[in-house]
Amino acid sequence: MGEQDLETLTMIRVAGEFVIYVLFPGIDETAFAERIDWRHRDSVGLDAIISPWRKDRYRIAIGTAVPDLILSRLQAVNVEGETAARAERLGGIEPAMTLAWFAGVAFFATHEACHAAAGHVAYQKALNPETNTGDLPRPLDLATFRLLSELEADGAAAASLLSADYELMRTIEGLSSDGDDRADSAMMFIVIGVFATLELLASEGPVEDGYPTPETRYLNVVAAVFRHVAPNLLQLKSGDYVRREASDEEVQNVANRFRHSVLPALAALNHFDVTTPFGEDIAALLGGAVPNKSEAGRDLARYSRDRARFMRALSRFRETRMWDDFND
Amino acid sequence: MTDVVVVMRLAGDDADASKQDILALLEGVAGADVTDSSVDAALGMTAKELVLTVTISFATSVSANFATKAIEDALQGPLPDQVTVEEIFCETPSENDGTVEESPE
Repeated sequence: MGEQDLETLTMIRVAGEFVIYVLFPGIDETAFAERIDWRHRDSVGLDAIISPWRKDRYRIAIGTAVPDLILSRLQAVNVEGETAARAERLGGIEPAMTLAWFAGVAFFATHEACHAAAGHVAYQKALNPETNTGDLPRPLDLATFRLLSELEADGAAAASLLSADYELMRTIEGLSSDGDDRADSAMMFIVIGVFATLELLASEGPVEDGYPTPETRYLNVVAAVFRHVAPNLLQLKSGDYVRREASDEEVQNVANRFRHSVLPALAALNHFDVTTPFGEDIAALLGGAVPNKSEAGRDLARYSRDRARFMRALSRFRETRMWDDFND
Repeated sequence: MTDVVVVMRLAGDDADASKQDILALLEGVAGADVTDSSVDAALGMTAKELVLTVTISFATSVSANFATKAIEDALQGPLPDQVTVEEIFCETPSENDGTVEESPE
């Protein structure tokens, strides 16, 4: 086995251990993540799956090409200006970009684990006539379930990683995790890693039927970032988040955080051009508004209309308390 | 008793036919019995997938290495289209609590 292969497999293993022993125990005291068996499998593309495994366990397999693909994309990122300044506060460009790399691989792993945590695997089993374990009152159609479960797993994975910023920083050798202003710097590089990974979905080939487009997934994670940074600007209404009235000061505080973290991160990935409909939708979501300029934005808004029904259908399949606020 | 577990990826439209072909192939291994099999839908990051898991029991006392090698050899031949073997491992009953543990090949 070559040194490069070993590094790849180590990255996948460490990402799995991070999810099991650090990320989920930090969110919820249930030990559900210990019921996940992690594997790697040979692949040439972006590839990861989760399937039911023995009684109440889950099996996640991450493709061996995933770390290298993410690393290649990150090597093309423009680390300059505010991004470079933020990197220096974390100990330099190398540890900062290693944080982005690890966040990207961990995003992949966490996405799959969130399918289990959110009850998607169990619900899909219940939808299958051959394996169902009981009556489902007013079950979701498979297409709606597939679309919303992918979006939910993406959003939950991104939000979980942003919440675990300190723990992610501690994973990276040579990265300074103490001191003022570290949170925004870490957020910048976690965002770079997550969005570089999402961007790869678009470049990796055609989207399979039933999946949201990469652009819709991208905008959905932008919305998750907003929910993470500004939860106090949102309220739950009919199973979905809507923006509430906020003071100018509250809005200004959130805008300042974005200006020094998320916006330079997206700019470094060459993905924040407000003159395009897609860029306008990113800006709208970072302001807590509904996207409607691009096709992907309109799709996301349309899917959101099924969200309340989706949340109700999944409520008894949830493995963790991450979604308790939505339950009746 | 020694159990060998094989995990396979199924692609294509006729997963059931692929499963039956694989089961017939594994039943043909000397001393082996297919004792459990299931096809589960997997949620993938970029694509849907089916996972076939088969447990093969060797009734007579054989070593884990022998049992695993016998199954590996059987799967070396031509497989049904769209079937990819992902993992083969041996399970042995634990002496203490009756549960099964994976053992290294």
